[in-house]
Amino acid sequence: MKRLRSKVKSFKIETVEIENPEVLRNHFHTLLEGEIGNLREKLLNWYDANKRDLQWRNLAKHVDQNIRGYSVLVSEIMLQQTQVATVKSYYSKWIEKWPDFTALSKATLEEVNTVWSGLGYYSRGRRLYEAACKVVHEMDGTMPQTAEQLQKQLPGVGPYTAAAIGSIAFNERVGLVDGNVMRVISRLCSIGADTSKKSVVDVIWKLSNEMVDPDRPGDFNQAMMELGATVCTPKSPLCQVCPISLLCRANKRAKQPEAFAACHMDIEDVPDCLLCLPIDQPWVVKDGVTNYPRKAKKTAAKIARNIVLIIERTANESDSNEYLLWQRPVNGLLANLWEFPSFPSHHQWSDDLDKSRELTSAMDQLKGLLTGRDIERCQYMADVFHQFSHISQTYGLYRVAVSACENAEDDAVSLPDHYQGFRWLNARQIAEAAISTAMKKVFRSFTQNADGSSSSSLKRKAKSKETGTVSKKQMTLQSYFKSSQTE
Amino acid sequence: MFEARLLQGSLLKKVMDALKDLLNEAAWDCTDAGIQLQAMDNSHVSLVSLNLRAEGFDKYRCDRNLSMGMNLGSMSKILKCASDKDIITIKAQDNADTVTFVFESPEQDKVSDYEMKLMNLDQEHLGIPETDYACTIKLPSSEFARICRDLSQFGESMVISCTKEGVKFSATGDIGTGNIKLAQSAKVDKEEEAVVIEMQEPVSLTFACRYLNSFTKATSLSKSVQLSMSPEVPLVVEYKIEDIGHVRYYLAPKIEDEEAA
Repeated sequence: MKRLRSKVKSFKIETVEIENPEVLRNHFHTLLEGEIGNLREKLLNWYDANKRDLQWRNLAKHVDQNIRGYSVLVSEIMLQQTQVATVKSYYSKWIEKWPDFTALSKATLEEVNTVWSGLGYYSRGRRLYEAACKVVHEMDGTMPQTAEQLQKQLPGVGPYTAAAIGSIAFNERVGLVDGNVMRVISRLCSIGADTSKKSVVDVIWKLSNEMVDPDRPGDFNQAMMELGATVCTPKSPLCQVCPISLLCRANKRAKQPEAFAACHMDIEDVPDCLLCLPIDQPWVVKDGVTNYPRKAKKTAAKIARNIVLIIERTANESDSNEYLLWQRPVNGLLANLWEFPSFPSHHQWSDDLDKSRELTSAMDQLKGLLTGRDIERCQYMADVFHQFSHISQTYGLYRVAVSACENAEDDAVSLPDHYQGFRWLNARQIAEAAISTAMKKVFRSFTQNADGSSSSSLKRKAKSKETGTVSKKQMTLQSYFKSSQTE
Repeated sequence: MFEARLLQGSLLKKVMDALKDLLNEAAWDCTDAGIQLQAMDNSHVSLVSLNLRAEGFDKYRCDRNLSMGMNLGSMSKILKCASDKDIITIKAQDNADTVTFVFESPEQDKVSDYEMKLMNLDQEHLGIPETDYACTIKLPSSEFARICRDLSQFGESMVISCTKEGVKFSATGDIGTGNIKLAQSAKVDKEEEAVVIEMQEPVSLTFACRYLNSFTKATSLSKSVQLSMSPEVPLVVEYKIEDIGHVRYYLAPKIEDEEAA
C-alpha cells in the first residue's frame, strides 16, 4: 500500500494496520450503520415504483401459507439459470395444471418432464416433483417455513432458494445471494476479489444478511435481484437511474476518484486485502463500475459433435412416418428425456473427406442398433448447432430409411447402458413428447430439409412457372452481422 | 442533463420521416460525441443506422451517456406539431423517464413544449464490419427514389447490377420486365446531379423493392445517395445529412434458394 493516509476523519480509527486486512476490510467493504438504513429505504421505494408485474409475485401474497410457499418455490426453481421472459409462460402453464403440492404430487414424472420440456436443466423439474411428493406424503401437506428447514428437507432447494422462499413467502429475515445480488453487492462494497471463491461468496452472504430489511425482507431481496437484473447489469449498468448510486463504492470510484480516496483512505487497492481488486489485475479506468465483480476466467465451453440418426419407418399406407426415439438414463445431462439415437462423432469437419468418414461411422453405429430390420438408405442431411451452457454442441443429422419388420418379435433396438427404452413416434407425437430444445431443433431442421426435397419444392416450381421468375429467398441481416451483445 | 438544440428544426422532421416507415420504436443513444440510433425492422431484413454529430447542433450538452427508448409513432406526432422554421430543442434529465421537445418560432414569440414518455427497449445491437465494397454508386437521390418507385410496379424484387459501363436496375413480374440503365455522367458542373461509379469488380444482387422504397423516404435529407455493394453482403444505402451526419440503411439480399435447385 503506497499512499495510505495516516489520518482519516470520517472513521474513528486513526491509523490502519497494513498487516491486518480484517480492519481494512471492514471499512472498504461494508456499509456503515446509517448507510444501511438509507439503502433499505431507497431500494424499497425504488422497488415499489418500478417492480415488474409478475404472476408469482401476486401469488406470493396469497392468504394460504402453503400456496404462497408453493408458488415461490416453483418460480424460484424455474428462475434458476433461466431468464424471466422465458419463465413467464412456463410458470402460468405449470400453475394452471398443478396449483398446489397435492395436485403436483398426483402427476407423473413423464407429465412433469413434458411441461418442463424446453426450459432446460431438467433435473429441476424432477426435484420439484419429488419435493411435492415429500411434502404431501411425509409432512402432511405442510411445507417447512424457515430457510434452514427448507434447505434441509426439500430436494432441489439450496441456500438461495431456501432464503428466497423464507423471505418472500414467510417474511423471514434472511438475505440472499444470486448472480444479480452478487454483482450488486460487489459493486456496492467494492469487492474485487474472485467471486467464484467460497470465502468471497461467504462474505457476500454475510453482507446480504446484514443489509436485508427487517420488516420487508422478501421485497428487499427481490429489489436487490431486480436492481441487478434491470439496472446494475453486467456490461452496461445504468448508474444514472440507480437509486443507490450514492452509496455505491464502485460508482464513487468511477465518478469521483478523489472522494473515493478520501473515504476509503486510498485509491489503490490493498495488496493484503482479501476483498480488493487483485494487484496484478488493477482498476481499469475505461471499465468504470464494471471493474466489479471479478470472476476467474471461465473455462471455454467444450466443443462437441454428435451424430444423430433419424430413423424413419413407413407406417401403414395412410399414416404418417414414424421415427425412432429412445429415453436417456435417469441421471446426468438431459435425464429422462427422449431423443433420436445419437452418438459422439470422432470427426471434426473441415472438408468433404471427413464427411464421408463420418457417414461410415454412422453406418457402423446403425448396424449394431437395429435387429430385425434392414437399412435401406443412410444419408447426410444437415448440421444443427445448439449452445448448452457448458457445451457447444453440433449435431450431424443423418436420415435413415429402414425396411419393414417381418417378425414383430424381432423388432428390437439395442440400447446403450442405462438408457430406459425406445418408441416409434410420428411427427405430431414428437411435438408433444418430453424432448429437449436441442432435439426439437434437430427435428425442425429435419422436417425443413425433408420437405425441401418433396412437396414444397413442387409448390415452388409451380409458383415460379406462373410468374416466370426464379424464386429467391430473402435473407436476414443476422446471416451477415453478428450481434455485439453476448447476453 | 441532456440538451440538443437545432436551429434548423425541419431537419429533425425529415430524419423522422426517414425512420418511421421501417421502425416502430428505437433507442436514441446519446453521448458527448452526438446521437446515434441503430435498429432493425421487425423482419430483421433491414437495418437503419443514424448518426448526428454533436458539432452539427447549435448547442449540445450530454453529461452522461443516455439511451432513450422512443416510440417513433408518438415522436412523429409530436414533431408534426412543429412548423418547418421552428428551432427544436430535445431535453432530458439524466435519470428521467421522459424526454421533452421544445419548439420556438424564429421570432421567439411562440414557444411550445411536449413531454413524451420513454420506453424500456431491449434491442439487439449488431456489429457491422468495416467493408471495402466492390462497387459504390453515387446518384441523385430523387433519381433513385424514382427508379425504386417505377420498378416496384413490376415485381417484388429488383436486381441491381453494376458493371464498367454503368449500373442497371431491373425488375420482372406478371406484366413484363423493366430495365433502367444509368451511365456514368460526363457533366461535372453540378456535383450532386452526377452519377459516379467506382468499381473493383462487377456485382449483381437482388433486393426486395418494399425496403428500398422505405429507404427513399430519406430523399429530402440529401441531394445525392450512395449505394455500396459487394457480392453476397447486404447493400448499404447512405444519405449524408449536411454538416451533421448521415443515415445509412443496410438491406440483406435475396439469394437463390438452394433447396429448390
